[in-house]
Amino acid sequence: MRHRKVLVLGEGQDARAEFLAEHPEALVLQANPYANISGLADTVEDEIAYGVELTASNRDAMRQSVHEVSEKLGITYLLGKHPLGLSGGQTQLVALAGIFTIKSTALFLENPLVGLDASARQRALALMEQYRGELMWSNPARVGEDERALATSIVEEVFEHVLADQQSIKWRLAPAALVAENLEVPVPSARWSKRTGQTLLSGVTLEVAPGESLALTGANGSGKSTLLKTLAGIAKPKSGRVRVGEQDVARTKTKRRPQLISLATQQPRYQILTTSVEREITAGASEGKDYGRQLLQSFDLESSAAENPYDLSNSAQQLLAVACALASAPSVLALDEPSASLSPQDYQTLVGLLNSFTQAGGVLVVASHDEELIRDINARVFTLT
Amino acid sequence: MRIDRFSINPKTWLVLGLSAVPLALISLDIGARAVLLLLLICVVAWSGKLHAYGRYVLLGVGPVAVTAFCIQAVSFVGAQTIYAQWTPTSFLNFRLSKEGILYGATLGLQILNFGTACAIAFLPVSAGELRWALTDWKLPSRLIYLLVTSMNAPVLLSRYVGLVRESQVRRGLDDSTVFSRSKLALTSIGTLINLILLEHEDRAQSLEQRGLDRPGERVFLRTYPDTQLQRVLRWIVGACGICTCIWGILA
Repeated sequence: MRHRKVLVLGEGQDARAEFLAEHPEALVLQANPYANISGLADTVEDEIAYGVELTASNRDAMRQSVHEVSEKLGITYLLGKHPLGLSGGQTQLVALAGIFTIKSTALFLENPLVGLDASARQRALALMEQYRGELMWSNPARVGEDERALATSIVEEVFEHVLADQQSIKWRLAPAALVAENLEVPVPSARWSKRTGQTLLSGVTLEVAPGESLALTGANGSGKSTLLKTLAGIAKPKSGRVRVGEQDVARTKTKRRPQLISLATQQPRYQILTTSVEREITAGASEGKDYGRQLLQSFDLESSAAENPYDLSNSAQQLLAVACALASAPSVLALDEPSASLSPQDYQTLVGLLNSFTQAGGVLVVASHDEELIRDINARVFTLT
Repeated sequence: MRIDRFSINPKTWLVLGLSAVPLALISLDIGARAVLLLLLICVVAWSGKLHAYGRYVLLGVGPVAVTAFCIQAVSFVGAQTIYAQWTPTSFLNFRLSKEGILYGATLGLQILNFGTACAIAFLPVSAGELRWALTDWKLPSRLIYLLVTSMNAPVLLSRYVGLVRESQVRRGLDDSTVFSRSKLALTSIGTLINLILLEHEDRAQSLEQRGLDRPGERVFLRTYPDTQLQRVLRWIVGACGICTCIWGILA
């Protein structure tokens, strides 16, 4: 008997409810990979094993099944690490390993491929293909052909979203080049642990001219997010410096820095600081209410202005994070996986605005695995190895 | 026979620490409290966690002990030997007295005794080890989850604080002075609570999926060394702890 593999185009809340009604025994992998980490384990190996502690017949069988799934996902090198010290993509892979090790008869996976590099994505898809059970997964973003090919059926959610007339925006920015000279970036350490002093990246030199886009690519855990944070002055390099125009980013005061370079990180939910979209756009070093309102209009978020940002869909939260990064009128906009959870409509909105930003002389630096995005924003590629 | 700290079973650390807690709670004079504190610190040092203990005292239990000492030193009722006196208003009368200082020092040491006993139970033991030990003692799984997450709370909290802090810095919220940093810390409390609650809800669902509440025998990947000597030691130390409790209640 061939098991169903159903792909839901959208966030999949209704489809999930139906699936769980049909398969009450089904396990659900949630969209936020960090929430799938238990906080009860000391190593990735223990974390993955947690779900089979009650069903494993003995320790060896348990270790074997953990290693089997880890090998299939290419994460055996992570097994000895602390589960709370991983990159976003690595955390997603660990969460996937944790749920596939359980060998449940039915699975619902919320956006399982988010944040994965091309090879990790292929490995995750292969694991999903080999899975012997009823499988449903959702993808609110654009879906690749490989993902469609895996599905035995596709459910398309009806989007109520109607794209408003996109307002053209008059960008406020002072065009300036981004220059990084001989950066040596340390391995990021969790706040509670001792710093290892190891180097993650060395000799990173790059220059991005006004109006240009640069895409940082590389495998999960290669240091894309850490490099973006270093460029934005949030993480300190061991050596080297970053300039925007003539100004040294590290030496610029915190409240002035977002006008030089502004960063939106991978998890939009972690960036929310206030209780309404309207307040969120004007929080911190913003250009004021008028500019904020213009941005909300351009990002098609004006109708949600009074809403709590936590109540927005993942896609709208991601757009809001980018809008907030732009609210300080930066010369350089740095984005970490900005298209990971975007619906196809929101993706079009984002691409249009990013291209308009660079045409106005802004510098765009994007860390992404999304080849389509890299093409659409016409970015030069800088690969981290 | 030589025992090195790496061969100590997590259950032994827990019993050692928890058995020292009643000692911290019973009535002892200042000399005995000081000796007890020294002994407990020696155990912490032997466990190799002196650095973490230092941070824990500096940021947690130390300020509580110092505050208790200060309050008692200037407000001891019935003091005979007064060193200094200050009456800012008719209803506030601060008197620095010999008896107050002695009582405050004893109380401060008692708080440090208690904190250090807890540190012996929890600092040398990781979250995974604690979960293993409590599961082996057949405690209910939900209680184990509560205890382990409580122990792990500083790690998780520091992660959330880091995320909120980073978000504030990225948005250019002023952090140049102590005042602005304090203001930022205050304004971030709501955000922090939101974040913790949301992720806690998601995490609880995920754990439930993975069998948190399901009954049955758990198999753990890791094994921890145990010896006959440690087993005997645990029984003796545990019995001493219980006797101290009973003695404390009866006395």
